[in-house]
Amino acid sequence: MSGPEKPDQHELRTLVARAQSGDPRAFENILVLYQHGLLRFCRSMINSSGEAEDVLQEVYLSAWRQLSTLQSPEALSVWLYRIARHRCIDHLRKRTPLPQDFHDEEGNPGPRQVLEPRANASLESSAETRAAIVELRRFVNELPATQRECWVLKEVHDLSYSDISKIVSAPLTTVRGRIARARVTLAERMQPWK
Amino acid sequence: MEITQVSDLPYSCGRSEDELWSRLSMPPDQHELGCPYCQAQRQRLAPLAKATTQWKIGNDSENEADTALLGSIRGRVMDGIKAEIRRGTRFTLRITTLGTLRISGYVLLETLREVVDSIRGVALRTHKILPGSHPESISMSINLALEAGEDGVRLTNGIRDALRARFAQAIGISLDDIDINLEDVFHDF
Amino acid sequence: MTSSSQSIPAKIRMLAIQAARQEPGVREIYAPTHSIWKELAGKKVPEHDLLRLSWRGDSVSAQLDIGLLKDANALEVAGMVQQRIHAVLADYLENPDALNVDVTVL
Repeated sequence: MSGPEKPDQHELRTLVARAQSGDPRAFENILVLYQHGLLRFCRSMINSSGEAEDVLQEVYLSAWRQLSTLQSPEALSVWLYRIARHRCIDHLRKRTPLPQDFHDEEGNPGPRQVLEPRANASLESSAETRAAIVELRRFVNELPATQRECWVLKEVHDLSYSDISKIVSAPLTTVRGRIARARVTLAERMQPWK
Repeated sequence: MEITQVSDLPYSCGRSEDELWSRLSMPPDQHELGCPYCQAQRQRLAPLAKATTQWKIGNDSENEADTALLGSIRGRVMDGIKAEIRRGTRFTLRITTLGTLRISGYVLLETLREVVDSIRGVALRTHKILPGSHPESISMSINLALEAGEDGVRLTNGIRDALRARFAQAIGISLDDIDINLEDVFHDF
Repeated sequence: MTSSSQSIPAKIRMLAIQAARQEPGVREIYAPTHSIWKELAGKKVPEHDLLRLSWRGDSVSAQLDIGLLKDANALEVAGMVQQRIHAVLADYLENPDALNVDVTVL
């Protein structure tokens, strides 16, 4: 993932400790570190850029208000993604009758909305590659929500199975299963791009 | 009900799909070169792997495009947060015949941070301001990380002196207890 | 001028606020806490509301939140602002002894 350089352990501990003591600059520095990933995650959950940006604002405020619940600086990333996930689910709940697939994965496909192709999605050289990415985003969007969030966290955000398991509050085996199933579906749907 | 085990089972050759997927960006190893299952699966997963990789590369340009937007979202939220904390806990400075003079805990914390940040060789970690023994005094508790090779006693004494001087000059109050705890050592490369 | 009614006109409140602004070291007068999110949403708080007033029986309590310039001494400036506000309001009130002025440095 790109973005600002990740802080070392001392810098991370310092940032978290200062933010927890009420230093707004330290908190803002934390946001700068994670903002791109969090926005991408909200977009992948919500499938609407404008709404994802509103939710991101709520994520920031929740994070500020819940800072005392962050037990260790090392858990910062998981803690932030958990907050983002909860805010996204709250938002989707309000936007009924959406994501029943958060409850019943074996039901039919998830949200029907098509992920907006990002106007500035890539700098890829070939139109074919660009088209393949647009297709993949669409297929990902059509996965059941629980599979989608796990797959995105693993493949787009490079998080470990263990971190994802903590973020989505599901056992490791469940997370592995969701990602494996998502991969099977996506690999099959991407076959024409061979 | 959710099915938890799908296709993460090993292929007939004993390798798992996860294992193969994590190796897709690398050339086939000895096993894969001689294994028809792995070769077939590599081919099956290749379009997905390629598009996923390009998606991640595309994130860089997406990040660039989002930077201004994220700056404005962050700015809005931080304005709200700062306005809120500025109006948070208040400490009594003095009770006069005309009424009460108070100061926001935020101003006191900012003053504390400004002083400690101006001293080389330490990094401020958790810190808090507490009411002092009388209205015109406060106490504070500070945790620091000390740079390797620095003299902790000399630095903490220097910090105490600097804090007392700054709080007298900028706030007009005396400091009771200044508890300083050196909790960590860091290396500045 | 004196008054026994439980109100101080906006004009007098504005005079007190102006007096506070004129004190060296004062950078700004902050809006009351309840209005911060209103302000962020772009809604303007009437300027005389910057000086909050509350009444209990005959006693009046005035509250003002100020921000200071970098080199100002908080206690000194807050004390001077308190005196300035008290002077303006006391001149208007029937019973100046019942006036309490609280100043907070934010």
